[in-house]
Amino acid sequence: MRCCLQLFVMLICASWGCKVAPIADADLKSPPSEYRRMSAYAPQGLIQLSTPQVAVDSSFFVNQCTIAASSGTADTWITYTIDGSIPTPQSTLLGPMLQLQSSATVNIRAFHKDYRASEIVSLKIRKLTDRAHINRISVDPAPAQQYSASTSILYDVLKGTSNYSQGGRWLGFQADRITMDITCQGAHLSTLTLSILEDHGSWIFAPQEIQVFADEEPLASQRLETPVTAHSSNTQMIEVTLPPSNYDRLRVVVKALDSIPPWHPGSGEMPWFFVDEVILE
Amino acid sequence: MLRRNFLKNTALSSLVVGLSPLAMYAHYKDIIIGHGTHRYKVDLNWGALNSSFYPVNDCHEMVQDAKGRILLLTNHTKNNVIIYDKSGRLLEVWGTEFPGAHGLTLKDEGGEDFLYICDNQRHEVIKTTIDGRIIMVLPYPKESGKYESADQYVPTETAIADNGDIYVADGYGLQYIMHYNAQGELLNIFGGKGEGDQFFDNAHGICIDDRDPSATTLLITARAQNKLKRFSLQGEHLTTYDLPGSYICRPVIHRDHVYLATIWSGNKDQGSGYISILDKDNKLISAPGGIQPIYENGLLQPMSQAVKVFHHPHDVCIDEDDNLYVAQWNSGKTYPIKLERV
Repeated sequence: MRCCLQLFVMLICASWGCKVAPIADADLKSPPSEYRRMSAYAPQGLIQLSTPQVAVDSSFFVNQCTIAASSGTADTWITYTIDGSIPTPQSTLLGPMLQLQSSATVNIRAFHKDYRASEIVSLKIRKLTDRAHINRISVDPAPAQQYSASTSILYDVLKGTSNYSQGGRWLGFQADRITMDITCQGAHLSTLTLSILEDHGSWIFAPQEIQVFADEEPLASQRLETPVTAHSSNTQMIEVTLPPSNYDRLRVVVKALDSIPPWHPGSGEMPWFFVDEVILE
Repeated sequence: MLRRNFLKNTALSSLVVGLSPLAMYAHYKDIIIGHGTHRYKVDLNWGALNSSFYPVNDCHEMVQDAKGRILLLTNHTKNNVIIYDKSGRLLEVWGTEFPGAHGLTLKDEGGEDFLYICDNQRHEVIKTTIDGRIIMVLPYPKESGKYESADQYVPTETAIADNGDIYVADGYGLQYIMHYNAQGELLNIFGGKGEGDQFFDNAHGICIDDRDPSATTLLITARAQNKLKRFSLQGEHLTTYDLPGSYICRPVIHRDHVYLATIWSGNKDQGSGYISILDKDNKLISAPGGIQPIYENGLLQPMSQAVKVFHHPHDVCIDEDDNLYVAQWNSGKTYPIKLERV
């Protein structure tokens, strides 16, 4: 009777294609990974966190720069590095506010146990040590009416946020060439820096070249690579190294891209150029 | 003895294996998005179809009909209207004449469902039966004196009152709101582009709000301004609700709540959308895909995306079980996602 029962069970199991072999207790408690299954719903570990909201009082500063970041989601933690390395879940925790006194590349990233880590928010902050005083800047052509302000914002050491349509902190131009004439207190200069906005989603592109002249003589220039894919909104500081000398007048010519690149929905149109600060050191 | 025990053990073990394969599986944990009383699991594959045969471009809007079917409007002229059951099974497709299909409103008129489709390319509002037979076409409102040509009129949404009056939001044109009677005769026009309370930028979505039994009103989105505006049915501005950081498409009222697909957020970065849910007092109480809504001194703090479930939600449809169906614009030609209420 018992033999028949055993035979019957084995036949049933064989018909179901089961392995007729002893299963260890350990396997019953924690199945091997190939036996995991999903429900109909999105699982842990699939969806990525959005980048955390990061606010900086000013990316270029004289004494101190304050960075605040928040994720807006419970159980998320944010870490950062200041040596340019990629933040990990174990990197230094970013509290409600971070204050830095030296130039650095600050990389910030958010983590949560249910989601993939966010993209990295990368900020270049710059301590201004030998900033030369700028008296006046005139621009030609004039900025577009809706993105206009006094040119004094270009030397107020207050950085615009990437929300360019508010705050009157940016000058926006849609032209192939923008000329800035700068008068400054005669000072020994070696670097000119432009702080610009790049936001391809809003058709705002970095220029292809920046040329610097003194008394109509070319001093230096900086070429930039044409982007081949869309970049999300970010601010950049473009440095042009000048022959070290005393200057009291400089002309900066910004050459925009000839047209918006072919991969962009605005292909062929004239790009926008946004600038919020000129720094002479 | 040993052999008998061995066989017995083997058979019993195999029986266990054979009878309960499912118990062997460890389950992934499902994520839950949203806040407070309105939280959801995410079914990313709900509306997925074979795109070689049932393609979509932008999935613009969704409604539920009297039979409980979920209708999707897309601007792909192979099948402008795709109809699913609530489980996501394809039931029916129709529509080849709506290249700019954008707005979709359903209204029960005398026991029969009718659809009102706004077409951005045809510059018209088209009324159809539930299976696509054309009943009426509303061309651009030349009689208003505000429009010189049809090109200036790019209607995005309609709202239908209980008496059959039709309100049309010209969200991508001159930002006016047209008020017609059921026969298509223009009764009133208000709004227009501007910054003041009674103006819009842009008047993307409109719905009838009859949650307050003493006064039926209109809710109209001013998407670029991140505002939801309340107007009387006669076109007088009543209230503005600020939703900073939220680029809201159209308001959809279900029970006491207002649901708004939020196509972008924050700095209007690509792919930064989520869903906004307001309570009966029009306060933001949940944002599936977005950060926790926080009010300080009665003011909503700027909102942004929290997790990348959505790219560009364009509309949300709510069924009788409070589940959400989300249609997305410019999101890689993907099909609607379902959020199941938990």
